[in-house]
Amino acid sequence: MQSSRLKRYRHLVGRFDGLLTRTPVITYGLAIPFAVMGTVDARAAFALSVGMMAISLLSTAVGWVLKRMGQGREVYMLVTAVLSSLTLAGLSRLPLGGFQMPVGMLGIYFPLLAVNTLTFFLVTRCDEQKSLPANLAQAARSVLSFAFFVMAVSLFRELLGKGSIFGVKVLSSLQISTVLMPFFGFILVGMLSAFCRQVNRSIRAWCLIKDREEAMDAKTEEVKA
Amino acid sequence: MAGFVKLLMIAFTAAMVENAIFSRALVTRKMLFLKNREEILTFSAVITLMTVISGVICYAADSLLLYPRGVSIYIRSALYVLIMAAVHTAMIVAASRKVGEWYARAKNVLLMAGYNVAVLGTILLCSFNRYNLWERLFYFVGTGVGVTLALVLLDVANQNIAMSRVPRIFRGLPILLLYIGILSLAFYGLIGHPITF
Amino acid sequence: MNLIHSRPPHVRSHESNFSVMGDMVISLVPLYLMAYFFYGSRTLVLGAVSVITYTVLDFLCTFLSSRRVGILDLSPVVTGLLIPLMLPASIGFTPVIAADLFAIGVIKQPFGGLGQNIFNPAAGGVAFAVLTWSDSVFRYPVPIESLGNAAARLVSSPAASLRLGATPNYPFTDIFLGIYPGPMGGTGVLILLACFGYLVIRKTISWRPTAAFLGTAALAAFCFPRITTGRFQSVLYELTSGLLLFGAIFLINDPATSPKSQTTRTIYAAIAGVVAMIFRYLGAYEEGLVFAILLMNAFSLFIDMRYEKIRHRERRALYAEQQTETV
Repeated sequence: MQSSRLKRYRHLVGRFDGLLTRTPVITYGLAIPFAVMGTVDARAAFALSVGMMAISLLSTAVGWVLKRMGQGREVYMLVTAVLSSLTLAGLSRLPLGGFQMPVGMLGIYFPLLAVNTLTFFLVTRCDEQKSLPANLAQAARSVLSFAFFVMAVSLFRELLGKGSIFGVKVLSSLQISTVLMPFFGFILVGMLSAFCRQVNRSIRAWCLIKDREEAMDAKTEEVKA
Repeated sequence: MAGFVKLLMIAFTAAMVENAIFSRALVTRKMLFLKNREEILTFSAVITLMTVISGVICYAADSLLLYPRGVSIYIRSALYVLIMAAVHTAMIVAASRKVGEWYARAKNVLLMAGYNVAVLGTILLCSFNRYNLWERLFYFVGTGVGVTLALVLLDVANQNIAMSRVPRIFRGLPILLLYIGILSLAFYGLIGHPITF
Repeated sequence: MNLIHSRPPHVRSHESNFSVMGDMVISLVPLYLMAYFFYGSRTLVLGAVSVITYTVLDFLCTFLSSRRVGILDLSPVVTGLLIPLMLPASIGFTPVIAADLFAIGVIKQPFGGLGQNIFNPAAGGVAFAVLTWSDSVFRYPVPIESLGNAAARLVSSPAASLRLGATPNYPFTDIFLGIYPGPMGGTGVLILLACFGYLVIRKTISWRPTAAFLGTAALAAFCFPRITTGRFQSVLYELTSGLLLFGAIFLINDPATSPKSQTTRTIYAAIAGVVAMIFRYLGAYEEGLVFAILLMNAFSLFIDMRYEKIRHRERRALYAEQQTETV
């Protein structure tokens, strides 16, 4: 029988499925190139997040339609890749002042979003039995989780590696170039993944311990009575 | 002779110095957890074939159409994805007709190897650097060799990790990412400078 | 029946982790004495700081992961002593502490701690220090001249000269006695060979892997000399500059990260010699040994398993032959 505190915790995080639990980068290991190489600058991470959101929502919508038409995986992956690349080409031409520069900073990693595994995963997981808004909400949650992750990692790496935040110099003395190297990205993502797992396990262990204590207290009260 | 040595250095750079997986992180989840030798060989063969065939067609498109018109890299990328999709579809159709039994087993791997960041990334890098046809061919083959080597190393990594008593929170993805990070650190000893992308 | 479950190798000798690591500590002491003689007391302080940091971090991580903390476990002491010996005597305390942190936090503990690590923590920590502080790691104080002031005059080592194709300008006696700039523990050929002899006599390590490593490195230096003054001079300078000799003795023979049997360890060491020279010749840094060691560590199990397969096939063939003979 599941204890109530644990149940409440599971129910709470379950409501944020994709955002807090079963997150794309940490749990499933999706979009690794972008989490490792695209997080050397916060502006680049922002551009990645915007691009990922645009193509994921569009691809989920089109994938949902194709699945309802009974099309197979080959078809919707092909359509996803082509549509995503066209969307990214359009996004790169956005006249928004601060957007073109981080897109240029990302080099090949912005156009590479067209074949990223997160979008393919969202389209594959898209359930044609559910409504379109429900599927879009699930996709949005996953991409928001990706966005939080890359923004947090990029702020950390930019601060330590360049001493700036969003290109604005804040620490002139601190510039550890190792932080901007690919190997540090891999190690950071791996460590964060382990850290999040530890946090989850600790909270669940705490809930279990507290529930057992309450159950023991309740039994003692019963016996006394 | 000097030209051939230069081409060999390009291939060596693509395979070892700027390895697609360890130096550029062009890796997907599927590539991290390939199950057996057949999957590794299929994956690397498909990636190499896709890169070479799509890459040659993309070069033709670049030199005849795109470079003369000064088209931006993002629109060129859209065209490359279309070419990749066409080549991949042709590959799937040919495989399902000629080697149906193998295709049924390898379908999953084929799909993920076709629409792969390593393939598109390699084509985009050559396009960025404006390599000519021979340079691109050597770069593509070098990348194929590098990806094969990396996938073998990842298989060895999974075996190594299986023999260690890894703490529970690190099991699975985190420890493999740490392992790749350490190997990436070792490969950085060859490069020594940040690579442009 | 009391069945003990343990990972191979299944050792049935008087050896224990304490005795093996104890011998390693004893063999590292003369290197610190040599460094003290050349560069002053700063070398001892660096060693002490590294050992204390590494040991405390190791015990803390072991305690936090609910494993038993072994008081007699000297392996953190050995790694703590190894790291500063691969760096110049003028290095600051930050690189040493950072190398220790990286070695414990990334290389050793996430893989399971003592004996479970796949990569050599000392090599990993120094590799991290090389990448982060590449200016200070390859600038060395002049021996004896820098007594009392380790950062007085920093020069480049013979390895840097070799990289530029120039013959180092040190007489053979100086090289033998270690009176030339280089890593704290990497210079004195005589003392290093004495430490090696001690470990071989105590049967802590075998001479074969070290000989194989140096053999293939010497062959590479002989066949592809970087200097124009002769192949034998190339072999001499390549083997005595940088960390090649030090690595051949202390890093190649690490029991946790190298293959398990004598033959496979020798094969591994021979390949490592070639890879180390490739990193030296083609790599970005004058000394690429630590990167080569990390790369080879990934293949230890692979070499063991391949060799076992070949042996298994040979044994089966022999068994089949014997069966046909009896029939």
